[in-house]
Amino acid sequence: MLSFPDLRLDRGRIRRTGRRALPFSLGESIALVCLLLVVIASILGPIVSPYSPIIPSGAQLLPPGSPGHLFGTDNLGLDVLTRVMVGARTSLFAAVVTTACTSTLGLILGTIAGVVGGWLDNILMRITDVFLAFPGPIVAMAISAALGASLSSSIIGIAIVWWPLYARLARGEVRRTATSMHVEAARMSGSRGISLVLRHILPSTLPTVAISASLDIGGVIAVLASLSFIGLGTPAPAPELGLMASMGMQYLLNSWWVPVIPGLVVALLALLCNYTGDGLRGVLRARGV
Amino acid sequence: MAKFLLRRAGSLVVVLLSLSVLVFVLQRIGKADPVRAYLGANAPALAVTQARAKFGLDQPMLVQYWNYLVGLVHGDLGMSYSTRRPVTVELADKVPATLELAVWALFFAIIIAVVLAGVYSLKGPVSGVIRLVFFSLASAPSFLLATLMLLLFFMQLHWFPAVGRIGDPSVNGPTGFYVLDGLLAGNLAYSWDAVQHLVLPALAASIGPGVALARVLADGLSFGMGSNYARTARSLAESERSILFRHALRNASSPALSMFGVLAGSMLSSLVVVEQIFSWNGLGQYLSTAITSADFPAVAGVSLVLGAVYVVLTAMVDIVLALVDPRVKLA
Amino acid sequence: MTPVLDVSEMSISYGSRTPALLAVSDVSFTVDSGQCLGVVGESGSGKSTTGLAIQGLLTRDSSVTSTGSITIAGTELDPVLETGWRQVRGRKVTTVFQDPMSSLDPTMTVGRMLTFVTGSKAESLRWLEEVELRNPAVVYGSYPHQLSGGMRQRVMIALALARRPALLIADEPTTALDVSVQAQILKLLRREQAALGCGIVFVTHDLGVAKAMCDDIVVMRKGRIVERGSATRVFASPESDYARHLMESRLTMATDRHRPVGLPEPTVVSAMVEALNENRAVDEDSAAPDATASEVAVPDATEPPAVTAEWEAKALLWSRFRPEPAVRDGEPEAILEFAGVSKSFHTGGGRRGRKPVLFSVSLRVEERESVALVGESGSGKSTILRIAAGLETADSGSVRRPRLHADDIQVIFQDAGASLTPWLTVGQLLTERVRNSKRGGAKSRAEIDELVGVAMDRVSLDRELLRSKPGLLSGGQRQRVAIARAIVIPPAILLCDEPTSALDVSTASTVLNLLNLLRHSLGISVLFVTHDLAAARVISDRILVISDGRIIESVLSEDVGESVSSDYGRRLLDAVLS
Repeated sequence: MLSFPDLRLDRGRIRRTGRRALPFSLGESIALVCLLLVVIASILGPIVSPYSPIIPSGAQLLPPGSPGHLFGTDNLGLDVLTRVMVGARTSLFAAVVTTACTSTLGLILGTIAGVVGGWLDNILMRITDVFLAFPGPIVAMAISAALGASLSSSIIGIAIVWWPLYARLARGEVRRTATSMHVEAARMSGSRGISLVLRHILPSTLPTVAISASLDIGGVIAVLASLSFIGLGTPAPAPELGLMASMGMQYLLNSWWVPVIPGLVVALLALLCNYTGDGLRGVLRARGV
Repeated sequence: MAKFLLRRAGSLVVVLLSLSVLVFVLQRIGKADPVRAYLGANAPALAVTQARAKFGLDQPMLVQYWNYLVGLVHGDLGMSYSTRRPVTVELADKVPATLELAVWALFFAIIIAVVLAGVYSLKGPVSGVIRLVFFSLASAPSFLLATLMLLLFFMQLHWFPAVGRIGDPSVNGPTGFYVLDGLLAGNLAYSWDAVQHLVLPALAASIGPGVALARVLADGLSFGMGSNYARTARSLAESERSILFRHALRNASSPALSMFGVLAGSMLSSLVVVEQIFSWNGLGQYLSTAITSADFPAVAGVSLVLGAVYVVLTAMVDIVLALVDPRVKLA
Repeated sequence: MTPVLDVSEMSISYGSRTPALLAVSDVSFTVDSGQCLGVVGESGSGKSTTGLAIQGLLTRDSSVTSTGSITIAGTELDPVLETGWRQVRGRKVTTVFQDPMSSLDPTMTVGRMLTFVTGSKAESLRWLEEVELRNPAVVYGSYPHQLSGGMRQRVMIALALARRPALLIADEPTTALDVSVQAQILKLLRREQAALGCGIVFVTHDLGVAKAMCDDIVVMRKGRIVERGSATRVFASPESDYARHLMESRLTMATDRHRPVGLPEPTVVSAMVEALNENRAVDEDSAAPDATASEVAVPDATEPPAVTAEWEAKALLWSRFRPEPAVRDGEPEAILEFAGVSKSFHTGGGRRGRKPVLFSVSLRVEERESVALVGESGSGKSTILRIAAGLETADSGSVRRPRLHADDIQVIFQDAGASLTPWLTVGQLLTERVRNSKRGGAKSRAEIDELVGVAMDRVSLDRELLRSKPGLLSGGQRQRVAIARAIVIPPAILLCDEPTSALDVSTASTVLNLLNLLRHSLGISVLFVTHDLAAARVISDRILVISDGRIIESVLSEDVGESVSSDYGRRLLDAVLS
């Protein structure tokens, strides 16, 4: 599913209680460990693997569990495991880059708007208003289609529709903090300008944006895969998960693993990221920010 | 109310204008060459020049955009590069197909949300497992859900058909919504066939939004049950059941509704994927074809239509929101 | 006669907190029909838990455990087991809650809520009339957010009384309301009680309210009842130390404003000793040749026991702490002067929607003078303070701060917890204040540390706390940190925005004493904003009464009781329930 960032982050401050000694729950800890394993596998796997992700190396359409091909081979005789490991690496990397760039851009613009206020703030808010009235993912598709199908145009497409959400989040958070009493008190005690922002405002904005971003990574993985599925990623035979699923659809009837395994890997990555993101939110909340 | 509608109409115009500018500009600076797409990579230079002139692509960009806008005002979305037919005509029978699917998917999403929100409020291992399963499903991309559904319900169980909107295209109703057309024509078998075709794609598109909605709803309900007004109701001898339905549900529905608007937007885009998999002859499938053939007028047309649908949808959500929550004012 | 409520040896603990918290311990009391029993205590005393238990509102949480029993109108009940409560809760016992905004369902009209209880529209309208709401028909169709706080509380009372309960729990019913509304609500409750003949349990932290409302009082502390008796007796001659301490801390119009409030407290005493020593050091410096004489003059008055004894004997006057003012000719100089200041705010609605909050306000605070601004919420008193602080600018009129620069104005806000940046330590906050100031900016690390340490001594906070973050401190400690930050570089004028209204009675008196001490020993002018005339009288030399954005009266604190002449001022005076 193409999803929007979680707009309904609970901003309530949670008091330090002894109720939950570990902010990470058991499930979230397992997810974190699994995610680390998957990351390691996706980095080391392709290096260790005897197969190439793009040069056919064996019989075609071997089922999973065949000797030498744990996840089987596809219609071209490519090793599916090698391809999904490379795909997972690309996918994770692209999602992290997208989220990091987008949230940083949004954070900077939102903070500037929130701190400076006035006409600058007005202009930025009008722009984000227009963006929020768009059906975001559709626009992302249109943009990356217009730029020509490739992974980088997908990333650009997503970034263009997504930054306003972070900007608004950051701006709202900055405004809320800036009018809060501790900032007024800090101003009365002589803090001004950059030091006021860095010491008294940003420390509460940053975690909110970071939580939001970490919760979004899973969604971005799914969005990128979906864009790639409808032909907006790098063209074949690139080992991209969405593309692999899409190209494999015609073999669904007899060789289900060709389209299903890449999709399952996307789902797994997204799930692990979502769980870890939830855990991170717990950690930052428990720190009382 | 009139003021609200007027304002939303204004917002619709702004959105469509900026959307068209965006797509238009990006398409021009992008790498894809519509003429090559139209004529094929090996077309002779003369043919390319002629095609450029024919589509007005040799004119300055502002003029091109102005021509496009003038056409837009007259309901003309230009000529598709790949099929060489007017985009407006091509879209005519695809809009109802997608809307019918979207309505069903939203309907499923609401049902999933309500049922799941009930499960969330239960305690014990079973609800834990159910939650885990649905959380996993919600993380999955819709193409995987669609694929798995095909494998299970079509190939293994043979419960539902896999392809297209209808088995028997004999009835040609006035609305283009097949279920409705069947009912209007008194042909129940036809409607039933259409429903069967709808189930899998609608379900595939609705699970993600349904689960997200369920979380918001469950959060809202548990917050409402612990709120001060629930305490007041308790102190006045209202039963827990009555507190849930008379107070908590109503209060929880406003955040859920806001979420619903956002989700509807993202669902439109997962329909693009789902339609492709189920060969659903709607906007989504049309869009993915158009994308692969760099068919700018088609891409822009679909984006504009979906953008308009989205704006209308959010306006509708806002109206319902104002009806549910007396503190919300339409603006 | 059997009592309507009989609480017998009740103990309640919360198992979900770690360590498990014993909130109420072995509490017994009875309430008769027509009797009003006040359950009084500070935060953490267990009074709220007691209130919830006798309404049967603790039965949903399985982690709460209890012993003892509650008997309401003949039905014996367990505090945490649901059995039997369904026939009692909402029928024989009902409640008026503290916060009428959040306690009424925002999506439901008053009429719908009330008719659920009364059964018919006519009966609902009658009840709305009964609680003295003007225009019952309009209120009937309104949503809670369309009503004022006082109106909402009247609706709440109608809801609670419509079932004609044998017992009414009033859980801080006036705390969220303005003082003048407070008095009306209490009067209404009294009248309805007489009409219905029900018993009332009145849970409150406000001693004045308890005194005005209750026949009998139990005083709670840390989950136990430490004193019980008739209200007259408990207020006139409390027996337990804690109750005596509480009663002494209570501010009334009769409190002696020349002396510290309440009983001697070690924290304030140590700050006093600190101040006396500093003064003496200054005296010795200025009178160096004649050092022996001054030492003889004040032998060991600066030792804590001596100061405590003097305070106890009611002989300790604030003037003791005031170093001799330098001889000055002519009129005292103004530190802060408002002339015809007006201000309005955007209301958001409409393009030109502005709501005026101040109308041509003029005021003057002189050197070493303390002025209190007294008014209710929405009167514009906080706006004046914010303009004086430079946090807002006036629309028109002039604000003069002769001879002052930014260092010389400091503010203490109402909610100290919110006014301290949560992720910085106390030490960082204080150091930052010194670094930011003109006078302290150039100082060395060691000099700054010393200044910060002295400031902590002045508010008598342990220097160890410099390494703590505000979240770990108690409410009173946080407010003292806020004061320390404000005076670490002594300002010329200190602006205080209701600094005590969020605090418990005894903590509030500590903060008031510290502020009074600092203003005398450091010679700081004070502008003190409050809704409480009694607190204003203690801290200030002069009182300005403000209503609807206009200053309507200016009186000397010394004889405020007699000289207040405006209707509004008298209303505020009556609201100090002495």
